[in-house]
Amino acid sequence: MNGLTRRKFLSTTACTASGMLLGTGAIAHAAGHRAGRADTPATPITRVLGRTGLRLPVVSMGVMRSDNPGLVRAALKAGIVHFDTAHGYQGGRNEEMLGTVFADYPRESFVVATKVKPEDGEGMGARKRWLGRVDMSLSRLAMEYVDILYLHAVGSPEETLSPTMLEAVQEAKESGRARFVGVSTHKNEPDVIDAAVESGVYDVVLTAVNFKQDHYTSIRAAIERAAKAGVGIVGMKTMAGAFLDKARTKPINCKAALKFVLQNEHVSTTIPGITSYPHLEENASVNFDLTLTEEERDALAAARPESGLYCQSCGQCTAGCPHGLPIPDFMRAYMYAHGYRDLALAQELLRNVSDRVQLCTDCGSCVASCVKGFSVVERIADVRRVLDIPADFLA
Amino acid sequence: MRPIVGIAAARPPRSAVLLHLLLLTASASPLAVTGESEDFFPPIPGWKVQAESTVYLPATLWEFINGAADLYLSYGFADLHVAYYTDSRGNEVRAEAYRHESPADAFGIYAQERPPESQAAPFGCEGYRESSMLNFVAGPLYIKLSSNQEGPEIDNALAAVARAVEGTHALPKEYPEGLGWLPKHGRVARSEQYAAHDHLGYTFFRKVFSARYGDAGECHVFVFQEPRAEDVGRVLDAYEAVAGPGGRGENEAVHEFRDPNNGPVTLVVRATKVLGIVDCRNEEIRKTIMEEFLRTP
Repeated sequence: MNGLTRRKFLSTTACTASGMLLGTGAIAHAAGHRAGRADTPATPITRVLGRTGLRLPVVSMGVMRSDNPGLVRAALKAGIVHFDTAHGYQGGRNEEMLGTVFADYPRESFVVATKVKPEDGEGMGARKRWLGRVDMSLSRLAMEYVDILYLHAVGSPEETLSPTMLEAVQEAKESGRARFVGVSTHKNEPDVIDAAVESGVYDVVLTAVNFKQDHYTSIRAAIERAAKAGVGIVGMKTMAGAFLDKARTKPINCKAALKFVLQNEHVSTTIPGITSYPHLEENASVNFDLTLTEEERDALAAARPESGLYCQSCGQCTAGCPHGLPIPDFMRAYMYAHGYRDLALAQELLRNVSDRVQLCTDCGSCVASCVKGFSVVERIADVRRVLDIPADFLA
Repeated sequence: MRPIVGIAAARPPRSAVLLHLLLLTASASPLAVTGESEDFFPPIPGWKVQAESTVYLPATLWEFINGAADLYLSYGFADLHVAYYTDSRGNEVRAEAYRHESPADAFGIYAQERPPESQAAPFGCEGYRESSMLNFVAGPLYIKLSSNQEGPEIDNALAAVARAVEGTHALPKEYPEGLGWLPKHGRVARSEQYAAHDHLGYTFFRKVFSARYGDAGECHVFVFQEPRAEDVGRVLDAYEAVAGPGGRGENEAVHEFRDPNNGPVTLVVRATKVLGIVDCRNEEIRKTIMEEFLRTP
């Protein structure tokens, strides 16, 4: 690709760093049908994405699980302007599909983000390989540039601050392959966000954030620090899996989940995955009303404790135990036995507290309660049986 | 096929029996019983194999594949075994065995990740290879083999692991049943996909197999089956609610819709199976596809 061509192209578009993405009128026109009154088009709620200056509706579209161009077109029609894809989605077909759709729209009328995983290794070779994959993405998208290019799925400050990858993303920006660069993360989010800010290189962080995260408070604080430093924040995984159970019989109130994240004004936009038209309509409606109703708050509160097997060791249960037992240890043993199928590890853990396990099962007056809704007594009684298994059976 | 049972971690068989007993007498667990990773990944000449003690489950899959977990979960992911093969020169092959709820689900996630231009690999019902990578799907298993080195030696090792896994477990080589409902004539090779939910963006198009047809893959064709004829009627009614009344062609089995989101869509009904053709302007292909579908018993 010709860097000069890209730079020249960027300098002649209407989309400058300080300008509006679209005239507000265009978005309003697209969403006009939502207004209660024909003479007052509805205006979506928009926020500026940090120092990028991009003003985006608060709900965008994560395209990862959709291979449906019709859905993308419908999203554009509904006023969504920002679309998130990645180099690795659907073997490249996801980017190709978007390229086909966007070919029919003026380049300045949408914002596209893609993501490329960090390259193994260091040095010029790794940098060139990464940029090669960026070029492949651009080719699939049939675009000269993407608006946001992320280092994909970064999980630590070390990865975020890799000298080779920092050079690579900077080169991507300077050569005009991307207007802005960022990192995406669903692991160690506060540390990655802080590292991204520290780098002084990344313009945007795409982070997992939702109402079920036990470390939501830490993520929120990191988001605030990033916002103060001018780094734009895009939220993902806002639906926390969309269902509470594997059989998909207990849906999460997705609209409430989305609104919850967007109560934080420092989250500029979100990219919920959309795979159906009803889902699109529901998500897009949040662009016009962020108010969390009492019913929605109740739905989130009810869903929050539902989890499964995994104790977060918050320790809040111990206060309710008359013997002051190390309940998180027992819960961890339960997880080892049933989650990880590691009976030896469960037994080893329990052996360290075996006399105290007995105190529990003999007690009969448990008032310990788990904020995640685990049945403390039942689980301790269950995992206690591991102590009876001869050790050499588990060796 | 050797059954996959027992404890997940690398433990002696006795513990497998004990875990079975523990789980059987425990309060209901949503977890499936999985196999021993060491047994799952057999040794190959010149290489040592070391299985990870952790078996990844739906709640922990993200720890291994991060944000990609969502997609796997949407395809009925059940568990993942991981092992590492190493040779005396320090070369390494990582082997991942994803077990899904059904062969269709496993095929679905495999096809999601399969690059359009990839070299076929003769394992399972279908496989492909790229530099330092070999993936294939067999029954409910999606096997992914990769290395951070490359070269003929690595390629040979990947193939050897694939053969060993396939042979040890006598993995099936048949495609999921639903793929057989798609007409053969004009189908673009290796374009088949499976969508468990929301095909074309509609909740009523579920468990759908699809493929591209025509010289340029210009026609998108899909097929699904409902349990009963009256369920097919409900799907047609639901689609009419979105796309308006379907026009009937010469053949009563054919319903033509003007889908506001997807363009012209033709649905062809044969008992409990429904074939869909999306915005296909090649009349010859349309006709051939419909005839073949209606002709097949």
